Amino acid sequence: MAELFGLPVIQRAFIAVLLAGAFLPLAGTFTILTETSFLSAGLAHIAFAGVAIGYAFKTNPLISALAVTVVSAYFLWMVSERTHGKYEQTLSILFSFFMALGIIFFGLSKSYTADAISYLFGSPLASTGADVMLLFGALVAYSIFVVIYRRELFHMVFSSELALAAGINVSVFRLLFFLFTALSVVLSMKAVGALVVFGLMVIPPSVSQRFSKHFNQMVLGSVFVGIFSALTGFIISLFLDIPVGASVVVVATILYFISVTVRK
Amino acid sequence: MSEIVFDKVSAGYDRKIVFENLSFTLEKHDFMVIFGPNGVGKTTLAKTILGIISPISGSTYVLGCTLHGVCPHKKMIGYVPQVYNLDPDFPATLFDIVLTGCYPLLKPTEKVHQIYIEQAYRNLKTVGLIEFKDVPFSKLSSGQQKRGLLARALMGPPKILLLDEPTAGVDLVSEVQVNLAIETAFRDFNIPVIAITHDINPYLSIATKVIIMGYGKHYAGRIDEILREEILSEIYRTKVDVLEKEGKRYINIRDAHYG
Repeated sequence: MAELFGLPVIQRAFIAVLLAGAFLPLAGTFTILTETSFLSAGLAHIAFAGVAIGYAFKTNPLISALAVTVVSAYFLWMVSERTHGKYEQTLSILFSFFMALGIIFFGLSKSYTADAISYLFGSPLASTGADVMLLFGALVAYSIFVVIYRRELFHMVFSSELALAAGINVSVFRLLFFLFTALSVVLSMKAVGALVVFGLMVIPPSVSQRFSKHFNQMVLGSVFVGIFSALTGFIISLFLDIPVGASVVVVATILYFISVTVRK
Repeated sequence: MSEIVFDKVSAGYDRKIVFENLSFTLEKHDFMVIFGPNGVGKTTLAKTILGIISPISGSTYVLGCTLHGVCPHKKMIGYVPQVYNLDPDFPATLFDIVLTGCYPLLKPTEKVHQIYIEQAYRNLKTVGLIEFKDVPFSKLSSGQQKRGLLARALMGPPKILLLDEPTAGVDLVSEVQVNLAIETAFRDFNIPVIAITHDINPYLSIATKVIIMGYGKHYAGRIDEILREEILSEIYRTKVDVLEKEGKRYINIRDAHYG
């Protein structure tokens, strides 16, 4: 095991999975508290279609996924603003549409199917130094945003009406929340896979919520549970030679079931 | 100088006017009650005062702000909303929620001053909830939550207290407790209060002004000028009595028909 961790490729993969383990629960905490978890599931599937489009047009799949997902997040925010938060129908339509596009573009680019599938199930060993740096940079930016605006975010998740009445620009914060969610999904996809990105966004915050009396505790607890799941899942995946993303989510789910049996 | 001046104000959503040509003033010592049937624009009026929605026409003046563009006055209005949907596992104690009342007064990197922490304790005592300060907010009864939100609204302290249906959805005992807390806050904090309600009776002993809103009609002014049977009967489209017992007035809707 120690020898394996001496390999740069394993080190990069390990760091990428840990960063995803921190980033996704951090973003997911706000989706849980605002009951918008479907946003992360929808954006993950839209991002996957972005990867397929990238392969079909022979461009960097990460860039195409970023473009498609960020534009979709922005569009969903616009719909949300005009419909007083009722964007789930539009998200469902986008979800289906982009999945259909993904399947079509996979069909068109048969030679890239294996690479594209790695985004679906995750392939941390394929993470490059640039992938890791991007993930790290985005996580740092989001963490700074959360630390600086923790009071505004708390106000908003408690009651957007009270936040609005207190002079907080709820609309801009909601846009940033949508965009950071999109960013966390796309940049974590290679490390853990589009299919389980949603799990890492939802399960660690759900575990943390059961034990948290205060908002700050829940945020930190989510990140802690996410990192612990990523660490444990990564090691198990090396031992058992199973996909990392799935292993991480299974660990997080076991933690969730333990948490529901323990009284708060 | 009045705290609020509305002169022939019309407001609504997406160009649809909800109320129009409303004029009133609120002075420092006033307790104003806004009441009327459902759907006449009471909450729209609250949102206009708060600057959440801009008036379509007319001139407005709230604590030195004209309500157009940036409104620093928002931080000086203590607001208790009508409804809020809260996750039963929401991670916040009553004290956490009360403290949010001072957040708009702080810069992002500024720590919560001791003065605000002491103020939060005092406000919790004012509304009679000090022993519940560490209880998760979501585990409180709806009446306790309303009183908690009142303690939150009193942080600062504000220059105006705005309450939207403060006793909606609470039981009778809690209603008395909420109204008592509002009366105490009005007297102790010496700030004008605007209470939007379906039932004016609990406030008749302290109210100084009233706005009665109806469908396409409204009356605003001093309570003794406006609270008359013919006005109330016109607004509610049914017979309304204004009764007096032991020096206190009550409103009684005698006969309400459908259609």
